Amino acid sequence: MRKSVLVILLAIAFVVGSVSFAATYTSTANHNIDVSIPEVAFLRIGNTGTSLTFAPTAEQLASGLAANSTYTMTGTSGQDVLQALVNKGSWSLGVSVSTTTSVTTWAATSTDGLALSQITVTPTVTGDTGIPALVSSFDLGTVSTSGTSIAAADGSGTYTGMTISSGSGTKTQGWQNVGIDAGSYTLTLTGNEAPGSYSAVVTYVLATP
Amino acid sequence: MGKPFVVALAFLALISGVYASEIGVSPSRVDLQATPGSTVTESIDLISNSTTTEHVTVHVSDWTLSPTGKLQFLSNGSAEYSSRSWLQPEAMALDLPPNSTVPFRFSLEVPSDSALDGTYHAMLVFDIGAAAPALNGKVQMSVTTAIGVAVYVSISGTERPKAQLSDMYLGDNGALAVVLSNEGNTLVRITGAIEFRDRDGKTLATQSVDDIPVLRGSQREVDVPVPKSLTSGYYVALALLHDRQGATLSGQLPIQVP
Repeated sequence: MRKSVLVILLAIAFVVGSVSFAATYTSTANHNIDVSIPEVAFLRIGNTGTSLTFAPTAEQLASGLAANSTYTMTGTSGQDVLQALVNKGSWSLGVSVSTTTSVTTWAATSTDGLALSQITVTPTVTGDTGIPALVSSFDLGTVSTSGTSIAAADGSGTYTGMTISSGSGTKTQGWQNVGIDAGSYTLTLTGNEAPGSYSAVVTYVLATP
Repeated sequence: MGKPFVVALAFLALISGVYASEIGVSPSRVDLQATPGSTVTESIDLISNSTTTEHVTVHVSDWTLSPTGKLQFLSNGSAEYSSRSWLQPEAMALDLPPNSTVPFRFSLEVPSDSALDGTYHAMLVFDIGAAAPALNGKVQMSVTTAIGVAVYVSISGTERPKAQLSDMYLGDNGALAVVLSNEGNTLVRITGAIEFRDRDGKTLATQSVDDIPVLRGSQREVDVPVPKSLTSGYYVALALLHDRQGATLSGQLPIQVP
């Protein structure tokens, strides 16, 4: 009896072992899947425009500039929403301003004439969750005097700028609105401005240090 | 070409989006190894999905990070551990065709100085030149974009990473401030998590900390939001962080959520 049980157990073990042996060596096939995601950083301005115009009419100035008051207007046409995409965890968004193309000289202060500080940028587009430290308001005068600089490789073309938003440990989760479009720019006039053509170039700089 | 086809094409153009002043880079930063007296060459991709040709100006800049992590461009020659003067872009300006990816090469000529050690850095900035605004009696502005690529170069075999978790405290803004110090001579990147535990040691919430760069010889303060899911009470914030060399940085702070 004991011997026959042993024989049966050995037989079962042989059959099971044969099945698993066969399964191991007759059904192997591998598909190696390699996924490679590149590090990227993008910055863009949507739609049609990268220019911004303030063109108050004489009538607007006359009606809006009572004594000791200001006349405020927003930008027209031009810059669509600013968007960023970063898939690394640390990023920084800066802004700089250059006035090298201007015909009429910008004044240092608003009491001397038209100054960059009279142009304020306020986020008007709701920022997406991927940009948690979204910019707060800033004026271009502060930007132009912030004291930091970007210099051209050949030593020319230095301009100044400052950081307006940064993220630590946060990716942007695809294209995200930074919160700035044409309607974000506001010009406040005091009546001291010299007539003329004023121009400036505003540059937003994204980096992932 | 039939009219319906033209209409369909116009519709596709509308829904696909048209972007101006767009520029992208890949990779978004570069880590290189070199020896004194050697020259290393690297290439990155400049990418544009814009529908028009973008004229790009190339800058090389010194920079640093503020203790709160804000990027600060510095006037040339004023940055510590700068590799700006070693960095040679292949061109100072180029035209980026519409919907294109263009390789851009640069080289680093490391001086023959045996005293060099650790990691040095600079930044390549690609600036889409804005056309000068029309001067027509108005106030005109052009708005454009630029993108910076951080370039790090380490002198092979000389790196001494030494990162520390210096302090943790609850800031006035309600966030948990984690202070990281880099007393070594190379860049460290800190990753990990902050666990918020109750008095029984049970983890109730976790906030991840991802890829925080701390430049050599500098300090960083990282704000970690206290999870809104925590109700009023006492907790322990436990920092479990590590650098990319594998060193562990840990610490804990009892906090009260009002």
